[in-house]
Amino acid sequence: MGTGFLLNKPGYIATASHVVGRGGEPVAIVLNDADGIDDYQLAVVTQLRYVPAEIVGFDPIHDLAVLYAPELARYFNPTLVISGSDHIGVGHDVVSFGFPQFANGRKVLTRFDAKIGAKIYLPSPAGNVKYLVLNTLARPGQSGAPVFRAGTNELVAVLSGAYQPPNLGMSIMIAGADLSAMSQTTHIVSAEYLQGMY
Amino acid sequence: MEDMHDLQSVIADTDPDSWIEALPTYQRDSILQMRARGVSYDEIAQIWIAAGSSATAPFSSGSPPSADPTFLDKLRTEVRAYLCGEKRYEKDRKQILASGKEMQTFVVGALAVAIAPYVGAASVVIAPIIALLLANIGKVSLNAWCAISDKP
Repeated sequence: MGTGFLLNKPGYIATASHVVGRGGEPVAIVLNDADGIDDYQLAVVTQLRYVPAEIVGFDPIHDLAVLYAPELARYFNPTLVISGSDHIGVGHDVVSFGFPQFANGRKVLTRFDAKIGAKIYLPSPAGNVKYLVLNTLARPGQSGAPVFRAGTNELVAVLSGAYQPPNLGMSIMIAGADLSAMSQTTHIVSAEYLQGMY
Repeated sequence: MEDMHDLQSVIADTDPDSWIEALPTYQRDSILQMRARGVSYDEIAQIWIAAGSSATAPFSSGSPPSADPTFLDKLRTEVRAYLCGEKRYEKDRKQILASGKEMQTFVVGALAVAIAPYVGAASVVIAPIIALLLANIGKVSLNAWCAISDKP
């Protein structure tokens, strides 16, 4: 489970590829119950409204996936501009929306405000991948969340996860939380890699 | 087994790299970058299965995609079953050969759709791996490949 967001094409939703796994099980999109971010939301999940979706784009190298939900074909974000990490600088304000702690049965659409802390390359077998660093603590359920330049509909990145020191060998879990991932270094992958996926 | 002979000509007449060229650009480019670094088709298939952001703890709940180490073996087994004449894919093979469509793109897509339910994955997820497995066959005779891959 993670967060997804509407693209600028009817019925298409983007998220992180690790959120959908391999798609062996039917993929469903849980709908947000609040009409707007300013509405009061029931923090405890008692029932879920969801629609089926299929994976139509899958890029594990950049941790991105695109879904199509026929029942959401009336919905899209027509003014969405997909830019990327080249078009924003360190110190610039960004805004993200996601569902932190969804794994614990809490479904609350939450706004996060942050600044770009750094621009980094993370190595992959296909070459370096462009990421931005947010100096904020993200939580499970936020993977796949969109990150916009503040005050605009310009998508600069998609939330991937928290920095985790490689080669630790083991993680220590306390109360369901992986201590090695409790860092205030959140990795968000450049949105430019969504181009051509849908 | 008539359809297997026809598939043999499809495989043998196809340049291995053209299976990769049949993929969408966003998948093809990553694979070609790995090829340019000297990574083999088979190694790339393994990388594709286990790929994710480096030094990043994924913030979704549930098992990560790379959790099943036998997935690639399952996929190889199904590709072999498809190409080497197993009965349950007979109808799918006939459809490929009757299609007359742009061959590489259609073959990769058709194999992915047919095999996906048997390996528990979406077709778009396994299509690049199927293209890599087809490329890995190279220009070897399909009969010879089936005989070799039949051995443990």
